[in-house]
Amino acid sequence: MNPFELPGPQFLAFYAMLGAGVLFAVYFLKQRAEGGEPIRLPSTDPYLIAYLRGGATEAVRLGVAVLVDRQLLDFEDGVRVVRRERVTPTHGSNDLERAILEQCETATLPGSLATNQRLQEIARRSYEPPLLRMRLLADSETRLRRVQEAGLAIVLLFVVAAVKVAIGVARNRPVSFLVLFAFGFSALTLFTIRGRRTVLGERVLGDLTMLFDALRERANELRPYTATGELALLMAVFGAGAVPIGAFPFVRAFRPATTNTSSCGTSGCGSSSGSSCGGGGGSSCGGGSSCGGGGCGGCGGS
Amino acid sequence: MAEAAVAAEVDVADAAVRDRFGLTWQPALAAGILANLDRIDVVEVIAEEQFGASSRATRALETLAHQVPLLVHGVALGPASTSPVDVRRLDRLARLVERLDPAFWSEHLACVRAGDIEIGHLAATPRTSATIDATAANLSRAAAIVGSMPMVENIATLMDPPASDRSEVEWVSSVMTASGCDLLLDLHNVHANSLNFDFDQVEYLDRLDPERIGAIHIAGGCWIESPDERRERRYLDDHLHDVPDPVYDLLVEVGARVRRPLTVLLERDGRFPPVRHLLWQLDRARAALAEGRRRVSNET
Amino acid sequence: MRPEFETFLARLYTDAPLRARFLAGPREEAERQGLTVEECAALERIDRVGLELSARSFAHKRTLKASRRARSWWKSVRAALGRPRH
Repeated sequence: MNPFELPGPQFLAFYAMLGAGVLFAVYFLKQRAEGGEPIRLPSTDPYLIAYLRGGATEAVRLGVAVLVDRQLLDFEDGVRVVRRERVTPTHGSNDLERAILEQCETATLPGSLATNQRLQEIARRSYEPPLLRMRLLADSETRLRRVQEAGLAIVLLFVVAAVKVAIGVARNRPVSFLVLFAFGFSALTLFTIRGRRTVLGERVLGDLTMLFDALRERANELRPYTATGELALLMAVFGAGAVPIGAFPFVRAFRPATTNTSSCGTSGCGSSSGSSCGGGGGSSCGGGSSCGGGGCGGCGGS
Repeated sequence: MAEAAVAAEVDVADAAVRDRFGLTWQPALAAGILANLDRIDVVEVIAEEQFGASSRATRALETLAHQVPLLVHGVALGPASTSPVDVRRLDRLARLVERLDPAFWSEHLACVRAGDIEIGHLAATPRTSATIDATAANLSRAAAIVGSMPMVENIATLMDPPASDRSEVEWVSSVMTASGCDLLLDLHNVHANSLNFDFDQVEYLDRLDPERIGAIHIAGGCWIESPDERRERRYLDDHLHDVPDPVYDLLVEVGARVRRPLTVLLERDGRFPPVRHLLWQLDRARAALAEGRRRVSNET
Repeated sequence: MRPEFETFLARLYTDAPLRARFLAGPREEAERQGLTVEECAALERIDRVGLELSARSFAHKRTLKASRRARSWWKSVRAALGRPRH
């Protein structure tokens, strides 16, 4: 049976199945090439996680936030950041922090720091290589493979469509839906291969999101200058949107203008959980999280 | 130095090197745990918390298992019962153990249900030969389905179970012998029961076979009062308080008796202090166990 | 130990009215439940304070577990309705 001889509606159905099959094949090949068993992260370095999530810009934003919370940078007039007196770049814990401190000798807009080319380059140099080695970011070989596979898929889709379009035009039949389908499936194919993270990278980031979910739930309990490590992990995993503006006003500079700027952040206030049960109940209130947390609970409470 | 003494010293030193210390997994502590893996050797997850979890959540635990070794600890199987344990629960436990590949899994020597009645937590079963046999049978059933023997944990109880004809330590030892399971010795439970039912904690340790002790739990609790006019006090193992000094003293005694490597887990289920405070308690546990092991080494 | 004895203990932990009747007259209530002479005698000597405290403890646990299940369900619903992604 020659599919090109199918009448219009039936051929569209056939083409839809072909498109779905091609999409699935591209997706499956990507999963097989880029997936794998979970890896052991060298550390839960928040900068590494921030870079994995959002690239150099996110790593720089995190650096600014950490330095403000460690009181090495002052959030002047609620608008700009500047290095505090007697603070030198050597007070930074890593190359990126030291570079940010250098850049902030004079008052600077946080937004402009985030897009500063030199800072971005330092972030890239520091965090991209380990993430590439761990196969969490797509390297050039991975991107080439993706393009080749998607390219073949798109060529197949267009060739099949082109043959039928030619037949349709010759027979004075409408072809616009088929053309739309061809472009649509091609766009979906390109969508399937997009992304700077590999399949494994997406998995690790998703898993970190799940593991740190309780941290996001109790973001409103974080206080400035006291738990920089937790602030850093919160911002690294979830972005500036998860950080409560009330306690950390400088994050306003990193939020998109359309973001909900309530003190609970874009993710909402969430339920208060995890830190206190009250009573002698013996089980954590953090048990609402899907990663567990009720605990053995001892003998229970009265 | 005599051969036996050298061997003993090597055993002690070897065990000390391979002792592991960890915390129970709590989402509220996730950030602190993951940021301090250089001070945490192992993390214990509660099995039943994962049964209702999404596949994404369980997958996240697999990733966690690649960052730090995990152990699986059950709280709702209830093997210390005349009724057979629920096979469906065992199946779920087996799947979880297969996914997380823990060094061992464990359960409590407790009854949590009878008939169609869910008690809600760990109840002490009457200590008789019948319950020893029934518990051993359940543990054997569990091992067959899960694929490995569990460690079994002694529980704390506010009530001395009726119709008992032997002491707690006799009953626990008999279950271990009958089932072949090693013991996850909860020192705070020993401490709590000794306060409530007036027995000597060190004598309790002396009556256990030290080579069958594979892991240790430490935790904290508080005193509660009965609601009636007597206002009688009992000590509650609630996992909401710091580990009391007597438990560290018991850990020294364990170190002086047990030659094999031990996994020591600090259980904290709520009212969380800063993680650094929990890590300090873990360091105290390290010091206590090391002190006990040194005592053996010095004596030989 | 018979399963019936175990079940009766579980009921004592979880059934407040039964527990109140039992504490008012342990042997009578145990006999009413069809337990043996030895079982009734053992229950007559039961640790009453421990029983009451245990029952309260277990009730608290059951409540906590139920609220945890409800929170978990609600959390899943919220997640399905669109927690922001990265």
